[in-house]
Order: sequence, then C-alpha cells, then structure tokens
Amino acid sequence: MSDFELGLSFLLGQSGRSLIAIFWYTILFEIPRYAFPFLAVALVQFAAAMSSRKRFVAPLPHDAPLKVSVLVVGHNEANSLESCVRSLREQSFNEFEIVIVSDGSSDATAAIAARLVRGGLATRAFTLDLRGGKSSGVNLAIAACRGDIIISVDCDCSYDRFAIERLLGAFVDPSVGGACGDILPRNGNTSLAARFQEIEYLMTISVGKLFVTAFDQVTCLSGAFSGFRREALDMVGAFDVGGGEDLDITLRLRARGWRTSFVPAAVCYTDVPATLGTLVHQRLRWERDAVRLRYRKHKAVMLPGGRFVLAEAIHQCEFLLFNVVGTVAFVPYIGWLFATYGEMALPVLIAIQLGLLLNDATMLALAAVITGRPAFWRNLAYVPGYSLFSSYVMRFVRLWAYGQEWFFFGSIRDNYLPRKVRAIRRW
Amino acid sequence: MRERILLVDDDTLAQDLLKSVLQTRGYVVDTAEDGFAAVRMLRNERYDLALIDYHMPDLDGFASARLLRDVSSGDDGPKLVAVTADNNALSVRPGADTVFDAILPKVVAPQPLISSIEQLLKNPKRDRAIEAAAASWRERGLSGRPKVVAFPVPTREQALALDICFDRATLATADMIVLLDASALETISTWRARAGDFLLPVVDLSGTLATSCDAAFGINDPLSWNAAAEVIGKFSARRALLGRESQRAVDLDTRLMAYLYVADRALCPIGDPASKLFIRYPGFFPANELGAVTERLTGRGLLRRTFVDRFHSCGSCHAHRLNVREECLYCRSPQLSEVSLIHHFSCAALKPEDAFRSGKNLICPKCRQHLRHYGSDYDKPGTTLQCGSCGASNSQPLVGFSCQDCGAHTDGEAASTRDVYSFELTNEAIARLTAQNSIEFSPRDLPPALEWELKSLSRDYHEAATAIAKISYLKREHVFKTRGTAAFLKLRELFIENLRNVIADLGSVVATEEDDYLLLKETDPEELSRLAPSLFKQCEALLAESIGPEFTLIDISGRLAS
Repeated sequence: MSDFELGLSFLLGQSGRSLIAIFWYTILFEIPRYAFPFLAVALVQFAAAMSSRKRFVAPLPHDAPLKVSVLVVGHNEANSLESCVRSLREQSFNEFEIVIVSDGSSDATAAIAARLVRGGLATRAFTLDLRGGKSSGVNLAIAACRGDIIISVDCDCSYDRFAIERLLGAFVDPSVGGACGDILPRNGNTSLAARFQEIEYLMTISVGKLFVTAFDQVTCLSGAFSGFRREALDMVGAFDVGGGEDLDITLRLRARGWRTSFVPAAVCYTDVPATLGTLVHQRLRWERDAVRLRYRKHKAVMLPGGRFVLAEAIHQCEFLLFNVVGTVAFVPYIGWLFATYGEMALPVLIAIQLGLLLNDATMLALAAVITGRPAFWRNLAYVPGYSLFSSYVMRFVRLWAYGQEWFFFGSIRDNYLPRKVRAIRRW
Repeated sequence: MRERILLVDDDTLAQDLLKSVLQTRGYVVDTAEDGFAAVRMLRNERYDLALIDYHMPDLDGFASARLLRDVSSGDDGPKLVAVTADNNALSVRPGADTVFDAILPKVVAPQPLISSIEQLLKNPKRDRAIEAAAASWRERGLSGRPKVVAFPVPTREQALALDICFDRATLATADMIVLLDASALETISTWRARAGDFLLPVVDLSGTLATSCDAAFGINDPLSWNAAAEVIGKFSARRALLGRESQRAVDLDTRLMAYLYVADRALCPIGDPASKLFIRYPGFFPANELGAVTERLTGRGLLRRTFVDRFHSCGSCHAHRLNVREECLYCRSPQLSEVSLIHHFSCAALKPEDAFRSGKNLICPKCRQHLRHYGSDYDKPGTTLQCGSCGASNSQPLVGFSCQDCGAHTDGEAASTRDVYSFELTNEAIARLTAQNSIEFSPRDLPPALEWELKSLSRDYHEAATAIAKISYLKREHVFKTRGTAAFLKLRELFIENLRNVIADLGSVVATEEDDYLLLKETDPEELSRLAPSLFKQCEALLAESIGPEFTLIDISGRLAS
C-alpha cells in the first residue's frame, strides 16, 4: 500500500468531528476568508443601520466641468518619463494638465521634463535637487496643480486608452474622495514568479477589490493609478510620509468619512518583479508597511475610544485575523500536525493542498467570468504552483515581515525612502 | 556763391521783369507780394538782399522794411533796398535812411540797378572767409570749393555756414551730397533706388550719421576736410572707371553694385539702435528691397556674402528690437521670482518657504510643527519660480520675446531668426561693371538649375564658350493623350538619360520641371545647331515611342535667339 493510499484511507476513515480537529487551520483561516465577503455585507449593512455616520459629500453640482490634473513624480526616471507622458496624452479623455516632479534625480529626468513642458506635452515641471520621497513630491505637485480631481500615476506604468475617462466616472458620486483603477501585470510571460503574480493580481485586485468595493471596503488605493478629490486631499493634508503612502492616505480618507472606490474598467499596466528575490523584497516592504500603518499609526480606529469607526474596525480586524494571525498560526499548526499525527501529517497537508487547488481553480474560472478576460486557460496550468507558492513561500515571507516590523521596526531601514525622512517618521 | 535776392512788390509784371533781369546775372531770386509774405519767407530762407517796392497797399514799403529788419537778426539780415518812383517822399520820411540800406528810383535801367546791387552785396569779411575755404579745399587737391546739394533744405543758419564752405549746386553738377539731418534719409534712399544720382558720395554734416555716409564733415575738424576731399576724389576717379551702362543704370541691382564699386567698400551692416532691424547698411539703398537684391546678386555670383550675425525677429512686424525675458509658462508674465522650497520630513509637506514663514519662525502649514533643525526637521530641496501675475509656479521658465516696436509677443522657440551678412563685389561683378561695352546685369530669366550648371561649367571654361539649347517636345500633347502623363515623363527621362550618355563630358543636360536644356562646352551656337538634330535622332531611336525633341538656341544673355 503506497503512502498516498494509506493517507487516503486514513482521511476517509475519519469521522466529521475528527476531520474538524485535523483541518482546523483551514476551517478557521482559509474557508472564512472566502466566506468573509458575505459576512462583510451583513456587517456593513448592520453598521450602517446602527450608526448615523457622517459622510462628507463634495459640493454638487459642479457648474464647470471638473478640472483634472495628472501628477507624475519620479526619481531617476529618464528612461520612462517621456513614454509615460506620451501614453497619457493618448488617453480618450485628454483635458488634463500634467505636472511632473523630478525628485532629486541625478539623471536627465529634469531636462526631459523641461523639454516636455516646452513642447506642450506636460503643463508644468518641478525640479528638486534633493530627494525627499514620493509623498513630498506629490504634495508639491498637489499644491501647484489646479485640478479638482488629482490623479497620481507611476512613471513605469502604462494606461489603457480609456483608463482616465473611466476613473473619472467614479467621481460622479460626490461622496467618493478617492478611486483607483485595476492593475494588470504586463510582464506575466517573463518568469514563473511574474506569472504567479498575474494570477494573484487577478484574484486580489481585479476580483478582490471589485468585490469589496460593493461593500465600501476598498482600503488601499493603488499608488500606481489613483484619483483623489481635491477637497478630500485638502481635508487630510494630502500625503503623509511613506512608505505605503497609498494605504496610509486611503485609511485617512476613510477615517474622515470619504468613500473610496475601485473602478475595474480603468486599467493600468505595470511590470511586476520578475525574480523571486525582487518579489520577496517588495512584499517584505509592503507587509511591513501594512502592519505599521494599520496597527501602529491607525490603530485608534479599531480601539474603543473617540476615534473608533466601525467600518474601519471591520477591515482592520479582518486583516488582523486572516493575514496576521492566519500567517502566524500556520507554523504551530504544522508543528501540531506532525506532533499529533506523525507521518500521517503529510497526507493531510497534501489533502489540504488539493482542496486549495480546487478552490483556486474555481476562483480562477470565476475571475475569468467576472472580468471577461481570457484568464482561465492561460493560467490554469500554473494554479498548482500558485497554490503551493502562496502557502509555502509567500506565507513565510509575510511571517518574516510581520516579525521584523513588529519587533525590529524593519521598515525604518527601508531604502525606498531617503534616510532623512525615515529617521524621523512618526509611528 | 550765388546770392539770394527777395523781391517784394505787389505789381507782378514789374516783379517778373526785375526777376528775369536779376536771374540772368546769376542771382537766385524769390518773390513776395507783400510785406507779410516777405517776413514769412525770410523766416525760412536766408536772403542777401531784399528789393522792396515803396508803394504797396496795406503795408507800404517802409513798414515792410521795418518788419523785415525786426525779424532778421543783426548782421545776417538782408540788405534792404527801397524801390520808389517818389524818391523825395521817402527820403524825407524820418528813419528811412536807417531802415533802408539804399533807395533806388523805380524806373531804372538794368545796368545801374545791377551795379548798385553788386555794390551793396559786397561783404568783405564773408568774401574773405569764402576765399579761405576755397584755398583749404585747393590744398587738399580739389579745384576749389566742392559743389554740393544739401538734404534736407537747409535752414537760414545752416545755409550761411554751408555757403562759406561749399558751393551749392544742382544734382547734375554736384561733387557730393551733404546730409544735414536724419529727416532726409528717406528722400535720399528713394532716389538712390529709382531716379537721381547714385554715384555721388554722401557726406554727413549732422555728426550722427557718419557710419551710413561715405564721410563726415565738421567745419572745425581739419581731418574731416581731408576725408571729404579724399572721398570726392575717390568717387570721381572710380566713376570714370565704370562702364557707361553701369553709370546710367536704372535697376536697383546694378545701382547697388555700381555704388559699391565707386565707394570701394563692402556692404557691411552697421549697428543702429534707431533701426527696427538693429542694423543698417551704408549707402542709403531702400532697406526693404535690399534683402531681395543682395540675395539675387549673391545667387548670380556677383556678390560674395559673409555671415555677420543672427537676429531673432518679431513674428508680427519682423523687427529685431525684441526684449528677451524669462516668462511664466501660463500667462507669459516676466514677473517671476525664485522661491525656496521647504520639505518638512515628518509630514511630507513640501511648499514654498513663504508658506512656512511666521515672523522669525518656520511653522509647518500642514502639521503646525515648528521647524528648528535644518537637515533633521527639514531641508530645502530646491527652488521654484513663482509668477507674481498669475501665481503659478514651475521650475522651468519659458524664454519669450516681446517686440519693442509692435508689442507682439513671440515664444522663444517659435521665434524666427534672420541671418545678417556683409556683401562684397566678386571679381566677375567688377569685370562686368567696368566693361565699356554692353553688359547684362538684369536677370537672364534662366532657371536657377541652368544658371548653376552654367556657372559650374564656366569654372573651367569661359561662360561665353558654352552653347545652350532649350529642348522642347513636339509630340508631348500627343503622347499625353494616347499614353498618359506618366508615360511621357518616363520617355522624356529616358531620352535625357540617353543624351547624357552620348555627350558624356562634352557638356551636360539640365532637366527642370518645365524644360530641359543641353549645354555643350567649347562650342559655338552654329556648331550646336549642326550637332543637335543627329544627337537627338540617335537618342530618340532607343525610345518605345517618339516624343519629337526640338531645340531652340539660347544666347548667353538669356534671350532666345531663334
């Protein structure tokens, strides 16, 4: 009898109660995760009924059409700046000014920006001799630009022809303070890591955000492509020091009562990290920023007290439970499994993985249907790898990031920001 | 010097009679019908003597004379001579002998009148000055005082001074033109271009136009006497070298070249803040036509040009008087000021320093924190330009031009430029200018490509040794109709190709859009007419269809021969 048959017969021989005892991790952290959206609907509806929460509403109607500014802030982006601006000028909606900030670039960024301004492609440009980080650059541009809607883009991204027009559609609702577009990796074919991220972005952004926007739970307006209402930015004092400034400003806008929205039809294309090393590096940074911002800077919204906001507490708790606790609990679960079942633990893990694989494949099919993109057959063969990769690689990356941030303040060493800013960032 | 006499008489018949008598004696005579008119004329012109009829209505001769005495100043005033039939009546009038320098009887024979006038006009002091001036000119190699024409019409005072140094004459006999002030520039330039003399030196007497003129003259500056004498001598000598045709030229092209030859100078631009182009060319040729003329002559190899400078010009009025300034990108206001930016590290605020200033303190406008420690709390990552007019800020100013003449605004990058050259005559131009026989300067109406080819052939051979025939195609219309335009053009191209191969380096074929030309080196037209038919036949034989090539000889001056 092979190990597999042995494992199978072991699993089939369990009663319902003992199955729960074996698969508690999956039952606690994996299944509710997919069930949560439904839970969220109920909770949000409940919260709305219970509290008469004050919402900010932009003055309506706007007599004049909304003025739009697009901000391009970059450090040493000489290679991509011009193509970025030119692609923005190809947009179906083109009545916007482009403001470029060269943030302490040592290459030709400033000269190219100046040329684009002279050539009429961009509206204004600022050259900073000292690098101050993305937030300060964006803040400078926000103060100088004249738009009612301010769109922040990344230099190394490119945009679907209708992206800006569709993104602006979100602001018809005067309670929307910020909106982001969908992000699609354009280099999914370059490596396995990139392909896994293509699947991940599809599930977590294209479908994930589409789902949560229905419940008003968009908690991060992607830095690569987001628009903001000027009144909203003025109210929160625009961007704070990064990293994770996109998550930060979203949380602050939400805390002040602005609605944040996701526009699936506004598509932005980006290059995702193509090697495992850069991917891990990026995710360590993201996860460190996420715990720092959620549970240090913005903990007040989920704690009892004057700043408590139920809708914010919900997503904070959701993230805490499924991302933080779920990640941390995985290690003791494996240990417990092996301690309790000895060599039977392996078939259990395989069974879990098979279940997840089935689940991921179903999700992929649903995602393909929901987004209308030919994503299913293209990615099906990569789903087993993706499942394993998320369970056994990315989960440990998260674990490492949380530990590093919570106990060793890892994000302070993150060279994504200039040292002078990191050194005195408030926590 | 010819003295000027003013006749004041209400009797026009008597006036005309007297005028003709005096004019035959070489006086310049003006007439006035009464005392008031005389006063008006005296204000504008200097007269040596006024002959006043005593019996006039309204204002009689005596009153008129008093008036004239009043308006003329001191010694410079004209001698006043009364003419009367009633000599006694006037003589007894008190004061008559002091107002009038002489009283002459009305009916006088010409001879006594003339002698009386000559007697009266004698001015020993002035005559000595005139003689001294003539001697000075003779020392400098002239035969006496130079004959001049003055522009604009001199005032009385100017005329006084002019008449001592120069002999005023007409254009036909003048040695030079003297320029009294800038108001005459336009007059001079129109007749330089169109009529009048273009080969006389122009000498500046105003003291401000020397660079445009051929010389400058100041009565107190002996060196300027030298310069004036020298320029008169040079112009006169070089005028004699010019061919007759060139001397009588009526077209601007030839006039310009002849002037440059006679003046023996290059046409170099001169800085001139008063000109809207900032430059001016000497010689008083009309500035608006000079560009086209010089370009044409350069193209024909008659002028050689040298780059001097490049100007930006106004898009609206083409003036070069532009104010260059750094401007706001949005409102084009030059009211830009550079402001420092402050970056507050802990909240990412990045704004102009003004937003942080509060007396001596720096307070963050976003988080109200005091900034105390440069480098730890904040730094100044750069500067930006702020527009005082529209408030916009931007790191990049625009360069713009504002026209000081018409006020139009031009963006720096859109502004057109104009190159300014200096020009000098080529040897070919000099040869043509000095040729005593027929010369041909007017454009030959040859296509530029043909001119060019002719010029390149004549580097080795004299131009005249090249025979030219214009080729036309008799069956052109026929082929158009039967086979289409493209087919004809193809046949023509093949024909030309064949022709080129056949004549090889004996000459060349110039194909222009309109016509084709055959050039044969070291060939006279007769030889060309003999050779052409067989050449054409040979070249056409290879074509699929005949296009009927025919030729017309062209002589070198551009006229079709036959």
